[in-house]
Amino acid sequence: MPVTIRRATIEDMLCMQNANLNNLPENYLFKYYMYHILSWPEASFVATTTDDVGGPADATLEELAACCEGPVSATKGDPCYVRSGEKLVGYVLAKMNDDPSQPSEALTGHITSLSVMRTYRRMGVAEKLMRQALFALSEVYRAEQVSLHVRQSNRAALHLYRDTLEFEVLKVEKSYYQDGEDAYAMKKTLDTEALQPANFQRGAEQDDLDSDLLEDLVREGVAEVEA
Amino acid sequence: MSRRKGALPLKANGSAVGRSKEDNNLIEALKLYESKTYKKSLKLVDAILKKNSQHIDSLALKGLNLYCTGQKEDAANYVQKAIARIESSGASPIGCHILGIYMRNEKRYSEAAKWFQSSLDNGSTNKQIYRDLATLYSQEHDYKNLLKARKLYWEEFMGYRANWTSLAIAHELNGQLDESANVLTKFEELAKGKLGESEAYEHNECLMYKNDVLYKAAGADHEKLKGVLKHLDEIEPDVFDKYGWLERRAAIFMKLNQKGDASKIYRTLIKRNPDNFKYYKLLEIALGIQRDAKLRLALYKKLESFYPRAEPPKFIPLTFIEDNSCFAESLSSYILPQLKRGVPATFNNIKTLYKKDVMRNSAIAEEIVLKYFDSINPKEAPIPYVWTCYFMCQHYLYLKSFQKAREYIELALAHTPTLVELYILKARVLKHTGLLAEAAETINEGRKLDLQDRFINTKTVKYYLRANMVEKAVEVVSIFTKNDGAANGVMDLHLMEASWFIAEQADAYFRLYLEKKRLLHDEKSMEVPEDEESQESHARHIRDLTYETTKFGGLALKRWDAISKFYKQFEDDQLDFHSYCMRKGVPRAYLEMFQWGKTVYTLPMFVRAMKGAARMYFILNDEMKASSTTPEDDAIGELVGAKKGNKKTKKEAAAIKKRIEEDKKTVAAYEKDEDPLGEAYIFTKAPMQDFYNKFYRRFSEEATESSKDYILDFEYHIRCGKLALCVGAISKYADMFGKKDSIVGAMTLCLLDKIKFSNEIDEVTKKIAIKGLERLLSELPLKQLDEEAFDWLSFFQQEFEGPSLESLLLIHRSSVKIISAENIKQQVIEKLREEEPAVQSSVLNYQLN
Amino acid sequence: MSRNLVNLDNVYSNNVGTFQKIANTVLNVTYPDKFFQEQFDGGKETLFAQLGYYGEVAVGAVRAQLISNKNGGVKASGVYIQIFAVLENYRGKGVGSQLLKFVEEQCKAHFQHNIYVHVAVDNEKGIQWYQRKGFEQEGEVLKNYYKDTTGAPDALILKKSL
Repeated sequence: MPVTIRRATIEDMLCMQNANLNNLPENYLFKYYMYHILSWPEASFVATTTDDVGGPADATLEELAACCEGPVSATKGDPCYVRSGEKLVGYVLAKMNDDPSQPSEALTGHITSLSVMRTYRRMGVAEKLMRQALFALSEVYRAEQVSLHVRQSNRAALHLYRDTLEFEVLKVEKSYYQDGEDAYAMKKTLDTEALQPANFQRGAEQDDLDSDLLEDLVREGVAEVEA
Repeated sequence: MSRRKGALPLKANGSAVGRSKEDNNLIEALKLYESKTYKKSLKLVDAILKKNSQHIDSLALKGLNLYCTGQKEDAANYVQKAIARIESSGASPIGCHILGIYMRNEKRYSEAAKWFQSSLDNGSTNKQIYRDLATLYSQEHDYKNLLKARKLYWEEFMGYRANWTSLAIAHELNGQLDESANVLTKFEELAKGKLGESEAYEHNECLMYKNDVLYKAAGADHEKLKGVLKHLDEIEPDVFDKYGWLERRAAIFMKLNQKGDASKIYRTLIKRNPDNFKYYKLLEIALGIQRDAKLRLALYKKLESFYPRAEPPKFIPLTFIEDNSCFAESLSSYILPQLKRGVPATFNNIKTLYKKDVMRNSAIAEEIVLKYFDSINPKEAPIPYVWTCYFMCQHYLYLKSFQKAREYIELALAHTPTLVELYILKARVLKHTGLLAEAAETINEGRKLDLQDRFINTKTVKYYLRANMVEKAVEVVSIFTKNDGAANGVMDLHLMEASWFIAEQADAYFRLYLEKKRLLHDEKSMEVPEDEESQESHARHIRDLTYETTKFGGLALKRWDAISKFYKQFEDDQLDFHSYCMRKGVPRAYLEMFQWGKTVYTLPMFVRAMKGAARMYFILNDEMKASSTTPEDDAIGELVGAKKGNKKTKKEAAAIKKRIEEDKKTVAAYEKDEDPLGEAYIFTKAPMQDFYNKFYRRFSEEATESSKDYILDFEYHIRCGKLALCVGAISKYADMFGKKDSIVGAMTLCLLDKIKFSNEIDEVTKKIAIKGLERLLSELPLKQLDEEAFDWLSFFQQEFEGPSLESLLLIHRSSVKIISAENIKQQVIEKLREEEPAVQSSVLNYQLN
Repeated sequence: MSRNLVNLDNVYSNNVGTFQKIANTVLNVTYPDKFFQEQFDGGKETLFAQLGYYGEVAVGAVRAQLISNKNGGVKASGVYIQIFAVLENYRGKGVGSQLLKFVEEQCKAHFQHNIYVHVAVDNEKGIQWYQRKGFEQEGEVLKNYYKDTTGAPDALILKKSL
């Protein structure tokens, strides 16, 4: 069951809370997840496994929609499943800074929590989630910058933020975490155009979004397949 | 004193004329309440009550103040008094308002709404009440009254966008889509040119919301859809939610049959998020090439060249390529790079292909990976080597070749013993072969490699609980919880709504309950020994086992109920958002929450807890019926009572008392847990009622025809003697799975058994049930019901498909008399041979006794 | 990826289990839990340890002890390698060299000139490896140096002077 990346909805929040409880030491009550999804509904994303890719070849739009919103009941009580065949394996929970005690001139986004299940690592899931969230914070919420905290000992996360996503380390916050560990406070300046997810695909060519893909295909693609 | 008395009316300038001193004091007390100085407010109220003990408003306010200072029982008393007074001598607007607030705090929302409404009916001019009412009606999903309240509030306060948005939502919920759109439009007209940058986001959300409403109203009408499209174009510059905007645009094109236009939008969406499988599926539909494998393959080749780092263009072709060698080639170039990179989920990624066609796809995958495995050297390519072993183990585990799975995971562990994932997988293999304790120890070995990783900690805890090693599990889970002051992390896990842990712990307690009960039964059925010493030890065993049985049973029920309470909390959590979302201006997200809120008690973890609790409550009910007595004890402490025993038994009594006290500390779920062992649960005198109140009522109210569980429904109703509803459940089940399904047969047999043997159920009810069965299953040999010799088991086996393990177990746990228990047990054991070891031992240990 | 394939990192009390697993898998002698916990007890500044990673997998472990003149013990002053282990399948990839480099740096940082290590006489590959890295035999064979070992009980002392 390969992994799909999509915007989070209220239906994902219980699974998100569960994934957070399973993976990370910093946990939140369900209401805090509701607060996120109902204050910034376009900012958070989830990575889920998808099981319906082999569905009927002639599925109609309605059938497809129906199977994307199927009943949640058939999940055998596994708290990881959003619905039958769809397991939540990673998430990014994001918000805009709305703390009145920290008035900031620039609109600032904040990554509240990010995690990917250990058994789904090394597939770039965290990076893909982050790219979507950064893009959304910038495009939908006009965030000019985004901030986050990371545990000093978390090598993989530090690599992702600093090297892959080009965050800068602002400072070390002593004993930021409840267990006494220090945090790096990190920041990135956002530019909507530069954040377009397609920019990071390194494709051999770009879809111009206009040319007739099929005609093109009939000409070159099929010939190539047959060859 | 007299001077001040005279001065007041002057200052209050007529408004206080006709108001008594009582009322003035009350207003003062209300102000104190509002500023959260409850104790001062109470003092003032007490002063009024001293003079007039029947002053309604004061009684109510005293109740509310007491509630806010945590004295809930006293609070309820005063509220009762106030209500009684209102009933006998009429209501006042303030009193009703206070009672409304009290009820809302108590989370009795419909009663709260009733009191707020009474406050208005009795002349309150406080218009804020409309908003409170709207919130409550939203929470109760009372659309009609919601619309009324929203409208009245809107009429009073038109200056706020939130009130327009709320009114539009209320119209939509009542199916009045045109009215909804009109309200939104009217506001847009009023606000034109007056919106600042800080309102831009809200504006974007509301514009898209209006498009939602228009889209819904349009249905399949092309002309209307074109209007919606036009609206969408108009709002484009103001919409920030481009995903929503584009998805809507594509959906309209699809409905208008302008598929070419739709396809271009899906391409745009893919460009924005190349990892969303849904967009690719929709693109195929838009292009109309779902049946053309050649075109599809070519399309995905093209898309892969655009998006080489995305998953869907690589994966989707694997789901439709028919030609074996072409499939093998594609599968190989999908799997091998992942194995080389050391992607743990490589097997999980392709598992869905196994589900689709296990014979062909698993054989091809096996060939590819084994060939690759033979080609690599464990020293030259250590990472690919170890992940290939990992893959092969999962492959064989899927195929239930446990021996081979075991071999590959051992190879991997010998090669790289520092890789945590390997221990997780080995534990899974062991679990499937029924070795639960070994599995737990194995995963714990992996956990020790990386104490900081909560994922492996969680898994370890789960394995310990599956092996019924509760203490060890609690010890490990407590590494990551905040335990200040508590004996362990159990309280924190309750506080943090950790359903996963509580559900697993409940299951473990339930299994321990069954185990101890069986041992207790064995001990009790032993002959009482002759000599004194053995007698004592026999008695001690019985006492200890009785304690453990009740303790574990009580704890299981208490844990399941803790989950039920979480879901009640999730329902309550919505309350604040009914007005918050309006102020925030997020109508679309709000409506999603609103719809979700109507399904809270059908969500998986609630259902899981409900089904667990059902098993326990059914056992309690059946035992109570069988012994035709209600439990005498109502506390575990009774066990200790060895008052007239000798010195030794007194000492023992002290010891068990000490043990109980210690147990209470380690299992406490809440800070002030008055019943840590769940005694109130296990000593219930009405198990079916408890089950209904704590679980089944809520589930039944929200479950739809398709999400209902008809086996559970049947088992519940048969225990309540509601035979007609049992027939209904059988009939629904038969509609879904066919009349020949063995579950239909099993339920029918249980019902016939009840009709034949129950002397609690009256003849009329029985006759109605029989009529119902006749109509449902015409070939049912109902005449044989009085025939002692009739073989119902062979009837069941011949007339119904299967029979499935589940159906046999249903008959078994229903303790029917028309088939001998021994025969059914034999059937189950026979059936179990087809199952894997883990299932066999679970059924043998926990279902066959 | 900006990261190298081979990396070193500190040992923390949270992952000392990994360190222990490597040592006990590779070495013929099994050390008790207490031995590994030692380095996190206070006042053990003379112990330094590292884990060696290949990719993201921990495959090598080193722990050395500083013996300075001030101690006045029987042992000569210098740095003593207590644990040096690389999982068999991950050898020849430079993990050991990195770990040794770490010890040499510690040695210099503490103004010492000699690094010592004991190797079982039957560990030919090990002896050769150290010799390639500039170690030489020092003194006589120590008879019955290893107590609870599955290999040879006698040990060589190897020394590298910086």
